[in-house]
Amino acid sequence: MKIGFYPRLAADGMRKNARLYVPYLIACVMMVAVYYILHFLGHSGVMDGMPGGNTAETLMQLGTFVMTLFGTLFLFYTQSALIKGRKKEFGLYSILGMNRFNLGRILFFETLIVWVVSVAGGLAAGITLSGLAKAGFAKMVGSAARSAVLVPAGSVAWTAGTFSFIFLLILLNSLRQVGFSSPIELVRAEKAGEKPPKSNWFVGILGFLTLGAGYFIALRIKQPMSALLWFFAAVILIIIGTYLLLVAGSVIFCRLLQKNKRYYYRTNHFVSVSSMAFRMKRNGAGLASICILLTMILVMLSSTAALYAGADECLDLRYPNEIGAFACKYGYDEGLESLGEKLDADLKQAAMEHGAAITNNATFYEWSISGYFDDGRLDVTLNSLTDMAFIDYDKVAQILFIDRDVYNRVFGCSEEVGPGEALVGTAKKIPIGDTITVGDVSFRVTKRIDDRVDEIDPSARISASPGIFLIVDDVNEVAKHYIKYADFNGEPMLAWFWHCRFDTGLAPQQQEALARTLDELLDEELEPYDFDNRYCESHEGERGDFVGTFGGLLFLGMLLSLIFLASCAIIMYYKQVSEGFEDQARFGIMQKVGMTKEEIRRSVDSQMLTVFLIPILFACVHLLAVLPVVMKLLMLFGLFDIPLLLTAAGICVLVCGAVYAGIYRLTSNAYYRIVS
Amino acid sequence: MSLLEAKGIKKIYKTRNGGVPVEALKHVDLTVEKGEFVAIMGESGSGKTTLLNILAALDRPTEGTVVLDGMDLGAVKNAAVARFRRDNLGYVFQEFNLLDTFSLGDNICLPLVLAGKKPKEMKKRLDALAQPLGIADLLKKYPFEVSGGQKQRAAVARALITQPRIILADEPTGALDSRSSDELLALFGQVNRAGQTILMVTHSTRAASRASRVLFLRDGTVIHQIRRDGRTDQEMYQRISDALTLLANGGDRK
Ligand SMILES: Nc1ncnc2c1ncn2[C@@H]1O[C@H](COP(=O)(O)OP(=O)(O)O)[C@@H](O)[C@H]1O
Ligand SMILES: [Mg+2]
Repeated sequence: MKIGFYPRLAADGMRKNARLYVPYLIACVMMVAVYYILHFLGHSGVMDGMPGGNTAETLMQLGTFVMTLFGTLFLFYTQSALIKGRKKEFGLYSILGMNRFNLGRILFFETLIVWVVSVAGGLAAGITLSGLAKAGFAKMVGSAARSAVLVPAGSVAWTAGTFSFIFLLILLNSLRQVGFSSPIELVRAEKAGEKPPKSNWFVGILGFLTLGAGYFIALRIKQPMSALLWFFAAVILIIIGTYLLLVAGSVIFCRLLQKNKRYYYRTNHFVSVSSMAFRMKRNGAGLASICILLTMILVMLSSTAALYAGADECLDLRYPNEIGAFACKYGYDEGLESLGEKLDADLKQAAMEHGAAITNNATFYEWSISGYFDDGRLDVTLNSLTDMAFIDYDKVAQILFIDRDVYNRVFGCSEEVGPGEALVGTAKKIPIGDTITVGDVSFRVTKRIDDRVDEIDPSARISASPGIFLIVDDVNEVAKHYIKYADFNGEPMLAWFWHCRFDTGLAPQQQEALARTLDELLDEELEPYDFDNRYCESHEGERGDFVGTFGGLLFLGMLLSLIFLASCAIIMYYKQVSEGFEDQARFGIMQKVGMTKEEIRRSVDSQMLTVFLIPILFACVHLLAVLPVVMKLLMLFGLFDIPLLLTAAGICVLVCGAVYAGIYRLTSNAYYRIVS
Repeated sequence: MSLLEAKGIKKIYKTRNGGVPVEALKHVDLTVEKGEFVAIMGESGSGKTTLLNILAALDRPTEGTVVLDGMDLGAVKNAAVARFRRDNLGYVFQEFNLLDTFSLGDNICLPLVLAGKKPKEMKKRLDALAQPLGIADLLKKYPFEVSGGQKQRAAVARALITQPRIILADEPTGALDSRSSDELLALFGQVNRAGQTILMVTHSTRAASRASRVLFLRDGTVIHQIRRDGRTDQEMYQRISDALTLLANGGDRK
């Protein structure tokens, strides 16, 4: 079959620029493949029935969305780098008599080829690997995967559709780039004399301040949920600061070095410093992008890996006993205490009939009231809570009253608490003085029992609003003070919480079955009393959800990291190739002027190393700055293991550093091949 | 003893992918005395650049020896060639070959920095050169900001600043307009009168007419030579033109 003139021209152009197009195509294929895999896992229902499958599905859907955004941005970036590299060729064509329409046709066929290769290749790779991805994911969450490889038409269609749209946008963009330049401009694009880098103190200082502000905010955040907006602000400031600092700050630094004559006019520094200034001017933005990508990879991988590794720890914290039952009812009722005793007896009876040997039992009730806690005082009036929008979420607190006798009995203490007195315990560092006032009643704080809170409620540390436990004399009398408070729906604010936890010594599956039985029993017994909430869960029953969620996060983190790393590789590669061509001529001159090959090589090595180290060093500093916030976010998931996170971060830095070094080696080989 | 003595130089380029080897230089003998200003002329492809590159130790001859001031270039080790060139030769290129990452001043100082000279010493030499070359005000500028003539003057300054034994120039006026060419040639005349030895490849009769001796190269051998012997530039110009016409008509008068 005869191939048309323009398609051939397009194909020839790509072949001649294979050095640039091959990595581009590989990146495109990877993006399409990963998109397909994420879509496949997130939308086709393959994860139905896996533990935590639903959460994981949502995560993968989120991942698909991130891939779309990132893919668009990245492909735009690479495409403009490609077009820039070929402007000269297009200029030549137009001087030879091609008009914009003709050039447009070449570009059209070129994009068409890229589109076909990446969508077909990406789908093929994606479909081949999707089975593997599913199996890998199943392994991570510890469940068996269904072995049949299925190819959902929906995922194929979505993948093809999304990338067709992205490539259409890219085509329009390249038409714009070539269409708006005159032929002469195109021919000259490469040769245009480059202005020497100027120190831009304003931008440099701005970058420094922006980055500092980002760090400052990140380090000051106490409650990540309530300060989510601040967190985003910090992230954006850090990103902007990185760009400004690497673009302007690095040039300023080189210029300062050049001013220092004794330093600058040395064989080892002279060439390096002056070409670094140019290099940074051209590549500051690219380095900043690499740095941001590396930071994202490090944060994503270390947090998800820590979560995955700490899943059991979180689970133990959230579900301290094999079986845990809970019931809650708003409003005051005299009969609740005896109802609690009956429930306790019935549940244990049923458990024993199931063959459980009950140990580590803790059954108790508490009265709860929430409000705005400030300065040792809980305000429970309507106003304080209706104006929520304006208040500090950190200060919304829940007071939990426990009877002294219940406390002593269940937790094995012998505390004395008189009327008007209270023992106070809280898992969060809330300043409380000698007295604590709840509503219109004040208690004298006779003792702090912060170290026992974990025993009373292990998940107190996780809950978003701080819980404050008050052990009081005759809890029901105290509760009566709060009957009068109602929320804006007219519902009572006082609530009765009932907990029952114990271990059974049963096998995991039996624990799950027991929890289901007890859950039904609870439903049955509480039916007449109109309770607001009740459930019975088993440690084992919840494991799947935890591992599924955390496994899903880690899996997503790894896939996205892979894509980000590939993008880093492409950016570095293009940087090296374009610098290689620029330096080729320069090195020829240096040799003629009398630099030995050795001297040139040394100077290049030191420059390359600096350029290589800057992004990863910055990324590590960024990681350190956001690690405290990450830690606080992980606490919301129930992970308090700081050494674990630090270890995960350390390993991630090492692994990413090694991979990054590998990429650097490969790409700098491309550079050396060009210049020598 | 002569400053530069090249004997029996022969250069054969072996093409990489098995093509016919090209004999760029057949047999060249050349001696240059201290303080001479020698011009080399010849058609395109006659081997001028090849000869100059061999004299500048940028390339090695297939046969023959080059002795500069008593030193045999063939005996200098490969690794030391660059240093040798830096310390003994000044090379002026047709395309200036200034580094765009350096200001003119830094470009000129580059060989001194490589030689490990002190900044103070550099400044002294730079100032001494920049004034007469008329680029004193341009030292802070970058190559792309100045004209071709100014770039070429900076390139000359870079060649002179090491106080080399000999200046080698390959079509230094090739990329210049006639005014800049004249300026550059005047400059060469000036440094030559101050005692500097110059060897210049050129296409331009006008440029060659300033030299104290003109060699004509064809097919890799020196086929003719004109000495100034006290002639004026005008007379030299005439003689060179005559010689070129004669040679172009196939005459071979050795
Ligand atoms: N690196 C090379 N490899 C092969 N042939 C070469 C090379 N350099 C020059 N030549 C050939 O050697 C001959 C002389 O070239 P050159 O010295 O550049 O001539 P000129 O400078 O007088 O124009 C030419 O035929 C040229 O093609
Ligand atoms: Mg030549």
